[in-house]
Amino acid sequence: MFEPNEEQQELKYQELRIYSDEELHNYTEEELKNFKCKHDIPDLDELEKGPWPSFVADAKREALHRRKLAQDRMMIERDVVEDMLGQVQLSFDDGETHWKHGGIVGVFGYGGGVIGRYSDLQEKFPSIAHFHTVRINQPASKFYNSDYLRTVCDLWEYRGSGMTNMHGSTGDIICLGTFTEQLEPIFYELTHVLQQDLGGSGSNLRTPECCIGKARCEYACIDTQALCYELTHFYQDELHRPAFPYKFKFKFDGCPNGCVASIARSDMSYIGTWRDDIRIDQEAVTAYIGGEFAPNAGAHAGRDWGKFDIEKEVIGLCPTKCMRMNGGKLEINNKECTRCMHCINTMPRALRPGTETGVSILFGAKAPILDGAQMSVLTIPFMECEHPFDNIKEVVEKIWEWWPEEGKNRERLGELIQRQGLAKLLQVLEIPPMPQMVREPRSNPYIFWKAEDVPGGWERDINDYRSRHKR
Amino acid sequence: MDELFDYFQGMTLPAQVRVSMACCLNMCGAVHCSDIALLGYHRKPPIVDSEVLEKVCEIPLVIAACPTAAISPSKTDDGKKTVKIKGERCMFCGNCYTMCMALPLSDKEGDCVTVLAGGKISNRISPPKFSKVVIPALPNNFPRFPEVCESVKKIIEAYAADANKYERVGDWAERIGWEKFFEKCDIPFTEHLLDDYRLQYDTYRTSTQFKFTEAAWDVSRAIGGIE
Amino acid sequence: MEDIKKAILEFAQASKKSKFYYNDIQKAVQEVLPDAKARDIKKAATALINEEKLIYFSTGSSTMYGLKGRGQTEDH
Repeated sequence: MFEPNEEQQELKYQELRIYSDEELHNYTEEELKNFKCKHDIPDLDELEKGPWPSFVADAKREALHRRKLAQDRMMIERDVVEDMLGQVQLSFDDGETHWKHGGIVGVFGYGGGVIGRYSDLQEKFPSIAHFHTVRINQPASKFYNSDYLRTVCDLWEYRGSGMTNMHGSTGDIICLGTFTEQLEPIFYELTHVLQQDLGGSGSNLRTPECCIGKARCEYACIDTQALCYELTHFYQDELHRPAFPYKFKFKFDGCPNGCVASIARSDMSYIGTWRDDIRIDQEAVTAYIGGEFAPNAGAHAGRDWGKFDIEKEVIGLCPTKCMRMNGGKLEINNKECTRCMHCINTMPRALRPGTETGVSILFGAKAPILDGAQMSVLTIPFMECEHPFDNIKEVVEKIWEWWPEEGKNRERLGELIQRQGLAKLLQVLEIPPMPQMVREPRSNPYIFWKAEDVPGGWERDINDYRSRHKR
Repeated sequence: MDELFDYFQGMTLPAQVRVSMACCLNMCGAVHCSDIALLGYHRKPPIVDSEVLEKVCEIPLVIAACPTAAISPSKTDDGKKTVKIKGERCMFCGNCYTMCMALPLSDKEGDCVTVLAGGKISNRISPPKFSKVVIPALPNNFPRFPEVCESVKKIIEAYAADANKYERVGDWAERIGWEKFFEKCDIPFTEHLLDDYRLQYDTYRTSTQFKFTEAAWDVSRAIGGIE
Repeated sequence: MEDIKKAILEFAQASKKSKFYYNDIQKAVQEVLPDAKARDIKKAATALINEEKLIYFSTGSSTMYGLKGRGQTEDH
């Protein structure tokens, strides 16, 4: 049963709301049809055509909505959205962005959460002279109730542009566009009234993010939400007050399918796994073979791929070839299984991950800046993963004793591992090496032996040598 | 997404196709491991705004920020401290601009879209893998990027027609061979696709196992190996 | 705590730079006060931020510390 780390009050929109229903629904569809942005935006109008929902259509709704609100009901200019659209059009014309280089903004005492954004055409677009982004730390797996969302939206209409991005690639709720003087009141409202934390930016712990986990997914091997929540709270100071050489990311995947891409983008990737046997329901296997259940939950329904063939589609595609049918029953040699999830994904009603679950921990993923992209390296094969996750916190702290100390400025953990070697990481973690850490053994023999590795050390006497070998 | 709308509505593809986009190399999200990735990229070295550079930037930090050591200290004619940039060393990563606003890179003709393909995150069947650059640069044609859309459609259509059930774009390309990928997708393999960064050796093929495609015959013809 | 704060400010004031990585602050402090722990240095830096003697400077991707009132820190 979930217990919050601090007392949580229930947010009631009816008590916290800023706008009346009339103000929220202040324009007709007819008015929307006739709406014209104050700037000429032909290329953006073009983007409204086509079947996919367009951000331009949404922005125009918001622009019209603000036009019809009283100016004293908004703390920044009403035409912020229209100026934003105008500037985007101009950027299309020029083929160059008109946002200035970031620069400082922030809320008092915090080193993260706000990203400075300024227009470089402030005379032409005064309402977006400042257009700062506010990152809000999303709840684990991004579950909300409408009271919460409506309250955030009202606040952002009142003190910002009203435009949001749910969610940014980092996972946070992104509130787009406000002026510097609004930041403190927004921050106060978010933290003191909504009990809501800012997200990460800059050289700090970035907003931790997890997949949907046990809340909605039968594959989840670990409670990703509990782990994400606990580590977010426990390491809150690292989120707020940057003292790292560069950014540091935690991402939590419940299974090897990797829905939050932890292996590709987090310095410390947590991926749920199991160490016992895949659970098999033989009746359901038979039902898949017989065509009663659609394979892969119907994901191939749009095309005729022929009758489901368990030999070809499951057993034949198994990367370790550890499965076979024997007398109408599916057998799995679990010792050989690498838990790739293919058979489970294909026949989820018949196969389930085992029950002795835990987490694999990998280190060092990053995007291409600077030394090329890296994926995380498998380092800890299995670790129990139960609240309050003390064993995992110990690992985190070992890493945070090493990387901030040894890492150069703007060096990600993955780059430090490359620079000092995987063996150094193992020393830091106090674990032995295992073949699972490499795809294959090294092919060059240029081993950096140390004196203590070699019998007798490196101290030798040339005279002793010469006593056996003449010059 | 308008161009691919039918694929979003139906379930006709051999496996999921994750199309992602990042407007710069910082790649918010896991763009570098997507089936198809569109990446905004610069192609002209930064312009040095010497007028203000010494005031707004820490010159040692700017120099240190360059991964290829293309930036060195310099002085303007009127004695202001500034930097100079060796264009031929620049890999257009923009890291210097991150550190210093007086080194803008953006440029209408220079900026382009790089198309990558064949990456994945999931461990299903094959391990996660990076996307590979398949088209070095397509123009930034606002607002609908017709060249980009056409190329993405070509890749997806070739993939949809040829891949096996459950096979991701990258697994398909590896099964048929990347030479066949370029042939089937009708994408030219240009010199810019040969890795020239320092990890280039990782991508060299050191084997006689290959398939003959028109690109291979072009080489044989060029060297005088065949008529 | 006070001596760490003093060391940070002395380092910042003596430097020609206007912005510093946290790492460099930590190294400078540990030169003067070899026993200072990383965690305490961070706490002292945070306290100086709260006292408005230091400020944060962020490019969005990385964060630095600056001496209030020195260099270009507020935006344009």
